[in-house]
Amino acid sequence: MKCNNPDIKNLLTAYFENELAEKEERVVEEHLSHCSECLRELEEIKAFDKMLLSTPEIDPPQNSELNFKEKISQNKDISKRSMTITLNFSWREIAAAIVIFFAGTTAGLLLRTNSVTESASIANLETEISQMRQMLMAALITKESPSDRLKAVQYAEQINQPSSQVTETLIETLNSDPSVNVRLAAVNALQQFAVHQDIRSAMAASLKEQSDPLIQIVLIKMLVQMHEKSVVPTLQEFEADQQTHEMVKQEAQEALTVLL
Amino acid sequence: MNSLTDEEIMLDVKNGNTELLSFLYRRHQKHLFNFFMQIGTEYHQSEDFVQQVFFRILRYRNSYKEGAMFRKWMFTIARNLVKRDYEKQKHQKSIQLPQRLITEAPDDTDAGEKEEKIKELYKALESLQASDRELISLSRFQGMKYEAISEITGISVGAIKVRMHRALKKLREHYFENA
Repeated sequence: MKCNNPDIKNLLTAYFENELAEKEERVVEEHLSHCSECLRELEEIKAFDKMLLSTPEIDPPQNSELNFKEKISQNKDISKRSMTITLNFSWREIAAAIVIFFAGTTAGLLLRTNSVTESASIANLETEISQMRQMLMAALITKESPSDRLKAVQYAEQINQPSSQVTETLIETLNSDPSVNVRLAAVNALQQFAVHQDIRSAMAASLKEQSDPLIQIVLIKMLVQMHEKSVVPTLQEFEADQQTHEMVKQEAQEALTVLL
Repeated sequence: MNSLTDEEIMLDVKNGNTELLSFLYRRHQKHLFNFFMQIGTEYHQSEDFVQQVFFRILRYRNSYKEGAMFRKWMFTIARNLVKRDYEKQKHQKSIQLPQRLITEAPDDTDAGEKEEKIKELYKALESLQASDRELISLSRFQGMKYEAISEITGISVGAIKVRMHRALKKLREHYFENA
């Protein structure tokens, strides 16, 4: 008997592989009960599949695993080199921590001398410090000297639950501060607050504005780790653009293989 | 270590035990290698791709999401690598197989017969489009469900059902034509 239902015939492989929805399955079974052509094809599918599954795999080159391990250990040297960069960051963080420690103790002492000692709870103190950091930051971020602005960013980094004003200032800094170091510090500060989607989006949008390869690479790495897909079009632009720095291009390419 | 799932090991790798990645490499390299071969990549290029996939996994271990199926992630990376390479250079039309296909058990008396079987399969695969080979490889040889294949390739499950049927039918016809 000639099969009169090519649509059902097309589902036979999926039927055999148990990939049909229940409803489809019932339709196919009903059809099979009276179509000998499809029944024969199903048998062919089964037999051929058995043959496919019994075909052995090709062996990869035998030294493959050794090669891999070798390259991994070469790779370790590379990661050691990049460690120094992270160390630089942590020194800066230590410096920031010291500054804030002193700021904190001074604030504490001030409160004490103002004879609020008994009642000032720790929570109060923390808000005070937070507010003070925000004030300091607001005052410093407009300074001409990059090191002052750097301090401002570091204050921002230490604020526990930053107001939108703080994060906006950081994003603004990231987008338009003339100093690479200040922008880099802003990226690092923002990373801490990146649990918020709007901050991640702002970071992704900022990538387009950046011209310095270092910032571009750091941003790409962070955004990949956050799995921020909105960055994909920018990465594709980087990849296609002749002007893009070679290392940024590489980073973008690798990021794309992971994000896409 | 062998009793741990891919996902458990990958989570450990993500948490800093990067040397554990070699377990995943050992577990999957052969399948991944065959995936590259089946979709038409040259022998040594396939080996290189396998390593590149694992380098990317190492490098981007932090973006591995807990609970995500490791093999799905691995094949997504693998596929993107090939796609990128495909745009760069022309792919070979005919699949070139190396002299020896089975090297792990050289005293295997059936080796000749097994190699014959592989050659027949690859000859039939050659007549298929790359996208069809990919579907067949992922489904029949890598044992992925349509749902996972859909996520890797971006083709809807509904479309996969029909395309898989047509691709396998074509493969079957070519296979028996050659035989």
